[in-house]
Amino acid sequence: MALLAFEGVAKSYPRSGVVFEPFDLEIDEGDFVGAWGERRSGKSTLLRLAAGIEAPDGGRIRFGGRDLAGMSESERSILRRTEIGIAATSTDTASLLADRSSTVVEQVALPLIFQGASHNTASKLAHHFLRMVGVGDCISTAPWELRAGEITRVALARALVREPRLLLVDEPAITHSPEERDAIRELLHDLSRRLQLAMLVASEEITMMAGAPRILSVGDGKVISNEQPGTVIEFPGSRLAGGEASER
Amino acid sequence: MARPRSLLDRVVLGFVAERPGYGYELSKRITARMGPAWRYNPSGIYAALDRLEDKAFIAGESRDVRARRRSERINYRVTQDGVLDLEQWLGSAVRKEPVREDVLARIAVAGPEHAPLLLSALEGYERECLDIIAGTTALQLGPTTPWERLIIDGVQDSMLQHLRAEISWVKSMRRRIEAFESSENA
Repeated sequence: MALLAFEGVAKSYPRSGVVFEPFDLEIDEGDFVGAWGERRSGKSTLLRLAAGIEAPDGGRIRFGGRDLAGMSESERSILRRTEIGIAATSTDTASLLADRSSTVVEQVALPLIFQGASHNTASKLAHHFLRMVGVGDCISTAPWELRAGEITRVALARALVREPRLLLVDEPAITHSPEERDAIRELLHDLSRRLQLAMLVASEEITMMAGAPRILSVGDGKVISNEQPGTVIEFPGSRLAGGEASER
Repeated sequence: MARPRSLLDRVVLGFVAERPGYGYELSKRITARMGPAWRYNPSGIYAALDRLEDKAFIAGESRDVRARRRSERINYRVTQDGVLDLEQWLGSAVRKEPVREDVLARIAVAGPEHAPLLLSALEGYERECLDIIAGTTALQLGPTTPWERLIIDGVQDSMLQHLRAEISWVKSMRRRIEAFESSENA
């Protein structure tokens, strides 16, 4: 059974029209999937659907076999606090920079403290994940002193600290230098491998897709994957439809 | 001076000039450096080595040397003529290669009745572009010097930006065909 399964999922908005024609998508434990598309192509909608923040117009989305539509809003919210991690650079940057009183480690520990963990346990886990994402030396830093690449890493640590089974990553390195972008991409692959963590990484930056075993191309209502077999079209009146085509 | 025949000959010459090597080892180095977008038949390397040796751009070690090494593999090293030819080629003008010849040829000969076939071909082409991007992990393998890292990153960047443009173009072409079909059906 897939960890996350989209079955005939369709989505439209009244103003922007069709975002997704019906499509299927399965993500298993430990899978690394990239979603590439241009601005406003539907990448973030894909992540919001996967997180149960938005509901599809058609089809169903299952996480761990459970239909997200069959859960209450509070059950979906618990799911996002436990099994589905979200790291969105834009919103994480805003929230990290808005808090003028905390250090990085306090920011990362906070989700666990909200869940009832002791300060000591939360702090230990925060240290562990900050080191894992390569910002162990920023533990006592104030968030507004962080560089772009460091903010992304702290956002990842904040999502990882809850030890989710699926991590949704939205535009992890759009404002970064090419070197930082490559480093973040390698970090995401490394985290997925080490933690056996399923990841769906959405970006308009094609270099973030390099090496992702499965890549979705999102746009114009379609989700096209390199892993799907090519479409075979029966074309009435064509020699191809009758199977008479030959190499000449 | 005789000239190597193909781009593969030039590339093989360059990799032998970088450091001596034998056929299989060279093919591994070329694949790691050039990535999945540069497609060639690895067995073509042996023919390229023969041609380069015929032109005295490289020299294979003798049977005696191989016997001393207890190996049948022929290690090749670059000659002075080979170095001169390589440097001449590196500094010569680069010609723009044609893009997406196959897809454009199909579009050029297709009629409106072939629109579904074109859409299918475009989707297949988009998947292939995605597959090449997915295959770029080969570029990450093995220890590298800072210069090799720079070259690998540059080659990868060129390939990815090209593929991005290709996928964007496929989407745009698909939009045009679908808009045409909609207007025809209206």
